[in-house]
Amino acid sequence: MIVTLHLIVLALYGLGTALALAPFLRLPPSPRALNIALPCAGAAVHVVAISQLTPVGLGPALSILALCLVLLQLASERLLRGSAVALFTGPLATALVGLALLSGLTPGGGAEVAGSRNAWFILHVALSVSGVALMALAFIAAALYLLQFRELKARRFGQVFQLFPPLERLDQLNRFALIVGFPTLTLGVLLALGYGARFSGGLHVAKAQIVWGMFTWVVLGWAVWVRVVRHWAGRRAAFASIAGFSAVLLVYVALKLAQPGVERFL
Amino acid sequence: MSDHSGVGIKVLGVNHRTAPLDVRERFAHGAHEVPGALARVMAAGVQGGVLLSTCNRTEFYLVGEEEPAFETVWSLLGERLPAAPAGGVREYGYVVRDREAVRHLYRVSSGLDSMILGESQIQGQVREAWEISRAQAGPVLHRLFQTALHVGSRVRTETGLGMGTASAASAGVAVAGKIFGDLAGRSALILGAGDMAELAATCLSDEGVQITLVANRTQERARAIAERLGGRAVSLEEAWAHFATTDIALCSTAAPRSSPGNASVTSSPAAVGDRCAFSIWPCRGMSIQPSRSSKTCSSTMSTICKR
Repeated sequence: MIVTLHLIVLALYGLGTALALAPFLRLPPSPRALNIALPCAGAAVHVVAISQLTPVGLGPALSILALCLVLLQLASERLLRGSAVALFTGPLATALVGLALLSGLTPGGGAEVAGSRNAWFILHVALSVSGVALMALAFIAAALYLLQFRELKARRFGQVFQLFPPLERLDQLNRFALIVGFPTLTLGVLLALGYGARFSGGLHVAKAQIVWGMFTWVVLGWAVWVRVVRHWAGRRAAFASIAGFSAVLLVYVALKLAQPGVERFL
Repeated sequence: MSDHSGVGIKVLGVNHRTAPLDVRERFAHGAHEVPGALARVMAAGVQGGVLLSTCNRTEFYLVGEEEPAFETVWSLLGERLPAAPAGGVREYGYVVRDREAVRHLYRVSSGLDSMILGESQIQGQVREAWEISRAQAGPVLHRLFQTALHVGSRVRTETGLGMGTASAASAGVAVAGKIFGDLAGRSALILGAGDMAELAATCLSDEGVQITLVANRTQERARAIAERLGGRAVSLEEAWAHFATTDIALCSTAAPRSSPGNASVTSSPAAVGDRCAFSIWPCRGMSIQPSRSSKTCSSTMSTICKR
């Protein structure tokens, strides 16, 4: 049932992504209502699928991340009236659902599965994944900003100019995602520490995970710091966000390569 | 029809496609300079001439022998450059003859040859050029310019060319919308009080932008626009200090020292703060400088569409 629901989600997200990409492939744009309806329907089915999931392991985490991204995409679409965010979130969410299906959505045994209905654990997963999704949204807003800026600079008034949101709104979206995302992620990590200390008899992670986790936290913290304290904005802030999220992504991939396995998200 | 050396209609000129902004600016002739320039070319043996000079083009429409009139035109333009390029002034220009020359003028007056396709101001500029050059135009160019204006009107009324954004000013305002999103409530500083400045200021005002200051060399004209749009008239020198406190700066003036380079803006001590600034230079081919200035404006201000 979970797999079937995820396959439906995959199809809906895939179709939504195709519609979002259509104007950039010189195909006629689809009605805005349809562009919103497909991810909405996908998200609704996804919520049902996730409610049946045990939030432990790589597959479920990727699935939850995909849902968070689509929800953020819909919120951005509502706030910005720009379908451009879907250009990134659409393929990303589709790929994440596909990866989740490949990784397997049913966890094995273990203490974490037993404790997965613990409020601390659920909150940890929800906050951590939301934080990562918000960081991804900050990255997407930054990328859209730089693309729009480049088009304006080159005096190309094509599809990017027409369909991308104004620079200032993208800047605001980037700022919001960073400022909300970073504390959310931090809280998620702290809850993991608390959960480990209280229910699991300590934190069962490798030193490399701690070191690199701290490194990405510092990089992301720097991106937020320059934005809030140093008042960076526009292109510089966009580059900082991209650097921050790239660090998260690279470190995650490196850690997964060093310690493969689908039992844990990290 | 004539061969290239014979009597016929010729166009010698430079435009936004062939010459960079700095060169076009130097080649631009004010209305008071046109009769003198044409008199010099006519002394080289042409029977009629019209000089069309706008922000984006300087074109001599001539009837008569090519030589030595062409040489005179190139040297006249060359004198306006501090240093001629290696290939001479011709490197920036083009020559169109006979039927193609007529076609070229028709395209120009229709707005088909403009930087902003279909922009409407060019028709008034063609008419103005014809009127200024009336004494020197001669019967052939009189007829040509009359028909060109008629063609321009027909193209505008019988096709969809004139619909939508159809001036450098309105295009600049559209781009401002892509930077700020909602323009309502933004403040704007207008440099210059010519037709272009007034048109752009009106476009901004229609979008809800508050025109706070209008700066110009002659205060009467600035005052008239400022009063109409609810702003205050100031001198050009006074305007620099206000760059940091306005969202949009619109520069449309021919005064050589009034166009702000980055240095002028950033040297202003007030140009510090965490705010967005955006300048539209409609006369400069919609040169746009969006900046999200933080503590140091100079490091973040970058020129968009400068050339």
